[in-house]
Amino acid sequence: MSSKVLRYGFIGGLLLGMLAVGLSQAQHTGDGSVYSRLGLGEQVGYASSQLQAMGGSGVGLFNLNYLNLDNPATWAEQVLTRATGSVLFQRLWSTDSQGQRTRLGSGALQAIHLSFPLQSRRLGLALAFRPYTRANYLIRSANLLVRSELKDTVRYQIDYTGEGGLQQLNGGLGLRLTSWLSIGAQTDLLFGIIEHTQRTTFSDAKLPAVQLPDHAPTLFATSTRLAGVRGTLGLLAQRNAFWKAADVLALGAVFSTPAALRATRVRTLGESLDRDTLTTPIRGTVEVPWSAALGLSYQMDNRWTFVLDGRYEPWSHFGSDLTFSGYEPNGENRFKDRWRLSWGIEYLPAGTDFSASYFHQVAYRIGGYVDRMYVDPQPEVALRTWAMTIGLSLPTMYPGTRLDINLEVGIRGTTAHNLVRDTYYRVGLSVNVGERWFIKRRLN
Amino acid sequence: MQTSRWYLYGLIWLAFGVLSGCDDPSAVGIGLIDDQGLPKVVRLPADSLLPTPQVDRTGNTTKLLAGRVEDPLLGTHVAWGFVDFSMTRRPDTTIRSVILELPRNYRYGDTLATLTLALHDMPEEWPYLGVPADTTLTLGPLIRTFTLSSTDTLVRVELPTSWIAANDTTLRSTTFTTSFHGFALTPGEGNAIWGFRATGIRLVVITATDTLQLSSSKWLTTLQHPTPPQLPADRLLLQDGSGMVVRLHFPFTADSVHHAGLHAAVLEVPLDTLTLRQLPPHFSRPAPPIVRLVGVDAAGNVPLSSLGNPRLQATATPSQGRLRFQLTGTALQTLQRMLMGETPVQYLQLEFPTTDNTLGAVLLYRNPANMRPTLILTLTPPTP
Repeated sequence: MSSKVLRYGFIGGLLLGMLAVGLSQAQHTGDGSVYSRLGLGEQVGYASSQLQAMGGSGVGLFNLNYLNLDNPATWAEQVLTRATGSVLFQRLWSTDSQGQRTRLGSGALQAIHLSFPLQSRRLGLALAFRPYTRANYLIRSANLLVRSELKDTVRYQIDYTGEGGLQQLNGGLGLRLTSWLSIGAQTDLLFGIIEHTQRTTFSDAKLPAVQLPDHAPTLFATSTRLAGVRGTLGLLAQRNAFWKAADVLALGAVFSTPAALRATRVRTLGESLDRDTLTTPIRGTVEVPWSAALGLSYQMDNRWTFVLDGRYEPWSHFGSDLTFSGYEPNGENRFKDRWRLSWGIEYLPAGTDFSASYFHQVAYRIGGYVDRMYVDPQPEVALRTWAMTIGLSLPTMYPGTRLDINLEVGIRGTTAHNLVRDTYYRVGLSVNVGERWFIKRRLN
Repeated sequence: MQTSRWYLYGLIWLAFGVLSGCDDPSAVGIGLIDDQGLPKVVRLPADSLLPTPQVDRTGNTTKLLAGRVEDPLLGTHVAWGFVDFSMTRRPDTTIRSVILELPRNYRYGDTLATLTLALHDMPEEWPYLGVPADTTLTLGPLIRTFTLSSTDTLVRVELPTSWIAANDTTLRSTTFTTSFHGFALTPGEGNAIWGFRATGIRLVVITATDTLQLSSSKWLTTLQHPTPPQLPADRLLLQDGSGMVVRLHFPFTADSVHHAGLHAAVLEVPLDTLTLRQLPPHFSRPAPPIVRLVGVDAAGNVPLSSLGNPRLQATATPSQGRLRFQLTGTALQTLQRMLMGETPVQYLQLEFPTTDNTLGAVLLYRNPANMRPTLILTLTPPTP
C-alpha cells in the first residue's frame, strides 16, 4: 500500500471521525450557557486552530501552516492547499447565588474550511463554514401546582431550551499587493435558525418519576430563521523588524460591513411532526452592526510568535423588527457595544528545523482574552468572559499536516443580580491537512 | 517514537470520549427566564347550552320498557315494548303451556301500586335496529292483560289456552322464525314504567315430554311523551329516551385559553339533584347510570378518528351532585385542537349511550354562570 493511500486513509479517517463525533454531539441541545438565550445567541469565534490556543484571535498573524479566518488578507500568501476540520467539546458548570450548580456537556463540529493558492504567495482563495452565534441552553425548573378546583396537587417540570444559531459561510480572496502589504475581501453569508422551546410535563406530586397518564406534555417553540450577507475587508502589513531582520512584525486590520438579515419567526405548539402554528409567520429585518478588529503579531526567530488583538462591534446600534431576549423593537434595549481583547504566545522549539526530534516540532501555545458580551443580562449589568487558552500542535508524519489540541478555561458572568456564573472548559481538536496541488510536472 | 505518537493520538481520542459525558440540568439561570409560561388552571364555563332534538334508538338495547308514568316534574311518558324470539329446537308434541318470563331490572314511577300491561300479538315483521324510539308499530290482537305487583322481580305471564291452540302449529313449525313475529307489551293501568332485562326474556314452551326456552332475538322500546316537563326556571332537562340532547358551546377564543397548550381537562357539570329528589310519595325516579359526552360538528355529526371512534368522547356517572368527565388521550388532543380552532368539532354534546336505555334524567343549570357546565383546564398559556 503506497504512502499516499496511507496518508489519505489516516487523514480521511480522522476527518470522518471528527465529523461523526461532532455531528452526533451536535444533536445534543441545551448544553451550553444560559446566556446564549440572550439576543441572537452566544457569539462563537473561530479563526484557526492555532489561534484558538492563543486567545482566539489574530488579525495580524500569517502562518503557512494555518488559514487565518480572522483576516482575508492573510490568505494571499498561501503555498499549500489546505483543509481543516475542528470539533469542540465543552464542559460547563453554572452556579447561582444560592450555590446551586448545574453541569452540562456538549460537543459540536466547530468549523471546516478549504483554501488553496491561486498564485503561490500572491493570490489565495478560501472557503469556510463556521458558527457565528449559538443558542444552546437548558434550564429545568419544577414546582407543584395546587388545583383547588380539582382538589389535588400535581408536580410539573419545565425545560427551557435553546438550540441552533447563526452559521456563516465565508468565501473570499487575499492578494499580496506589495512585498509588505496584502489585502483581502470576503463575503459572509449569515444564516441559521434559532429556536427557543418550552416543554412542560406533569408527574405525581409525591412520586416525581411517575408521569401522569391523563396529562399531556406540551412543547412551545419559537423558531426564528435568519439569513443575510455582509462583506469583510482586511489589510495585512508586515515587514522585518527594525531591530532584527529575521523577525517579522505585522499589523492587521479588518472591517465587516453591517448586515441586514431577513428574519421569519414562527411560533408552534406540539412535537416535531405534529406542530401547530400558533400565529402567522412574522417577518422582519434584523440589523447586525459593523465590526472592526485590529491585531499585531511578532514572529521571533521562527520559534516565538506573539499576537495581540482587539475587536469592537457597536451592538448598541442593533435594530430589529422582531423581539429578542434583551431587545424589543419599541421598548427595552439591553444591547451594548461588544469589545474583545486577546493575546497569545506560541513557542515552536524546532523553529524551521524539520530534522529536529518529534517533541521539538510540537508547538506550545498559550493565550487569553476578555470579551464583553453584546447583551446585558440585566439592565446595566455587563457580562464579561475571562478565559485562558493553551494548546499543542502535533506534527504528523506528513509534512504540512498537523493535529492541534486546544484547551480553554474561562469564567463568565456573576452570581449577583439574580444571574449565574459559568465556569467552563473547552477542548478543541483540529486536523490541518496541507499539501501541494496544481503543480506542473517539469520532467516526465 | 512512532509507537508513542500513536498512543498520544489514542489518548486524545479517549479524552474526547470521556469529555462528552452526562448532563445534570437544573433551575440555575431561571432568573433569566421571565415568569411566564407557567401552567395554571383555568375555569371555562359554557357560554351556551343548546337543547337539540336527536333521535333516540332503542332497538336491542339492554332494557325493554313498558308502562306509563305521569311524573309531576318530568311530564308523562308512555313506553311500548316489542320482543321476538328465536327457536333452536322445535317442540315434538302438542304444546300444553306457554309462559312469557320477564326479569325486571328497572322501575320508574309508583313503587307500591300494581302495574297492568297488555300483551298483544305482533301481526307482521317489524324493524328494530336503527329505529327511532318514537316509531309507531301496528299491534296485533290482544292476547291478555296481566298485573305486576311492586315486589315482582321475575314476571311470569301464562298465555291463554286459546292462544296456544291457535298458535300450536306455528310454534311447532319449521318456519317459526318467519311466521311468528313476537309480542307487544303496552301500558294499561298503573303509574309506572318497568324495564326488563332484554337478554333475559324467555318464552317457555311446555309439552308433555319437554320444556323449551326460547330466547329473545330482537326487541324494541318505543316512547311517547304526551305532556311536557314542568321545570323550574334556568334548568335544562337531559333525559334518556326524550329525543333531546344538550350541546355545550365554550368560548375557546377567549384570551385565557386560545392557543394555550393543554395538559389536562375535566368537564364538570353541576346537577340540580335537589329538584329531582322532590318526589311524590312512593315514587321512584332512578338516576341514569351513565351520561356520555361526545364532540359534534356544527351539523351535529360526530367526527371520527382514523380508528372509527368519536374524536372526543367520555362518560361519567352522576355522583355528588355533578357529572365529571375526564378527557384523556384522543379526547384531550381534540380539545387541544378546539383551543387552536383546528377541528370540525364545535360542540360538546351531553347524551346517553345507545347501548343502555332508561328514562333516567339529570337537571342542568342554565344559570347562574358559575353553575353552568364548566371546563377545568390545566394549561400553559402561549408564550408571547
